[in-house]
Amino acid sequence: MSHNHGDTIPLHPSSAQSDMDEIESLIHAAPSPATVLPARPPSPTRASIPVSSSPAPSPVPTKPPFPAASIPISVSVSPVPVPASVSVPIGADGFGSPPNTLTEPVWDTIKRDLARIVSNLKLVVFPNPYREDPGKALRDWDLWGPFFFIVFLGLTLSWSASVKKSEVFAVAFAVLAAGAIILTLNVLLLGGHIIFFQSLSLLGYCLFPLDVGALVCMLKDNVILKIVVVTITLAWSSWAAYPFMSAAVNPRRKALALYPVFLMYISVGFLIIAID
Amino acid sequence: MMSGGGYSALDDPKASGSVPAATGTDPQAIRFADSNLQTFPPSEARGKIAGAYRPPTDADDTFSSKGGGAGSGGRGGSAGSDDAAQGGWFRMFSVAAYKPYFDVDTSDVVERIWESVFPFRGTFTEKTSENPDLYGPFWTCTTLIFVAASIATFVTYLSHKWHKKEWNYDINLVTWSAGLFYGYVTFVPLLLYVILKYLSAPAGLVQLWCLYGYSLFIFIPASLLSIVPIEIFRWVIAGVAGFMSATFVAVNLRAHIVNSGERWFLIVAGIFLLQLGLAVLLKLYFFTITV
Repeated sequence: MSHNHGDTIPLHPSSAQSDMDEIESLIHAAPSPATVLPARPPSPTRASIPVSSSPAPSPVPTKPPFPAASIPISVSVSPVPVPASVSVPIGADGFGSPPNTLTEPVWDTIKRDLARIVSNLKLVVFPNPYREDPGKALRDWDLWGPFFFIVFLGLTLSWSASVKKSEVFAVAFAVLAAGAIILTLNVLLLGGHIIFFQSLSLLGYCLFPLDVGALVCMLKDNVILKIVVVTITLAWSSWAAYPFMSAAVNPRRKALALYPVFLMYISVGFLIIAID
Repeated sequence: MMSGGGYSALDDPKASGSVPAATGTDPQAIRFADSNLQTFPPSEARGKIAGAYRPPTDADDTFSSKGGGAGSGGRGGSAGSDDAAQGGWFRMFSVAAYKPYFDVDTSDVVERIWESVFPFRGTFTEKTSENPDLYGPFWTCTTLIFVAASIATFVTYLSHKWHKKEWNYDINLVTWSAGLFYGYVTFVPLLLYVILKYLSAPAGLVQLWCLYGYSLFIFIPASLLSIVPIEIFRWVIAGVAGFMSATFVAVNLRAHIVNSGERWFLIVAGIFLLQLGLAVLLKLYFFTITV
């Protein structure tokens, strides 16, 4: 007898656990019909209100003597307003809420993209508290801004050149595009932790000051003025790129990662000064 | 009540035989204890196993999702490791394959540059035999390309200004210097590697690239000094830089191949003359005034 009791005792915990699981599953199953049930009453209430309002004066004397007749009247009237009331809440609830950008005007699309580029530019080139953290500084990175700045600089240098315009554009574009890629690979090879395209994006945005410098130098053809303008914009670009590159690699290799960046900017600056 | 009745029934035979009664009671107690011990651990173990299995699954999911969220960097890393494990020709397209050749610190690179400025020591090969790098060769070469092109532009600009003539920037200086220096540092060590392998004195290809890359460093200050508009001074600068660079390569290579055979002198002499040729070419093309 005691053996039988001992055998049955350990079975109870497992069976109890299974029972608890079943109860939990029932509890989880129970709320779904519970939520469905309250959804039905609102529509009948909405249906009942217009029914009571519309036939209010005429059926008042007839309701008490013929309750059975009044009930089928309300039932027959209720299906008519139900679809109208149901369709409106459905549209308001979820199906219609996401904005459809497919049919928006092209100008709105361009405006939104330009706004993003401007905000990214402000984050990269101007002071902000997130300069050390590229994840926060350039969360919504893109490659359209960098591409625009590279092409703009190439075109500006090409227009400034008196001879060999196409070759000037080719060399400028090659130096800038390949330079950004090589700088990113350099950091990766030194064991740094950066996202490849985010780095390309950030280095491209750092070209903005040099773009401004190139534009000024194209308009003014004075060597001394060119040197001053390029020096200022060169320092600005280097200042913008410094925290990102220095934070990406081991402190013992910081100089190895930063030197190529300065070399590229100095080379671009020299091209801006030399091309007349 | 029923159990009480059974108990009283058992008391009678137990009273007659005290010894079997005692033995009967003890085994029951022991078995009961065993059954209790057996019940608790399995349930706990099951609970622990069930609890332990789920978090690792979630952790794996989060890690994979984080990896995906990190973007191409994380994928590149994983792809690199996969390619490294697999081997084959896909490996050369992954960044991780080249990391051993960039495993240097700032102090290492500075030390090697300083070593190249003192060519007669002949200890560069020994110091870099453990971990030759490609960072120094590549960026020394790149620096030399831009410095040479820039100084050449500046020199010709000043010359034209001095002679009141019109001057236009020559963009081909950059492309030509890039072709010259990248080509030299890439193909001359490759050729030397083949020759040494043929002569059964093999040297590491990366080590040769490292040696030749750092040997070009001396030309950077030489280019800067060539701004001085005195022709004799420029020739002296080119000669000194060429001699130092050629000596650096020759001494370090001689230390490596002097034991291999009888043709080491020809190889070292050829290397020396080739390096001097580079210096002369640099002088003639970049620092010659053509008004």
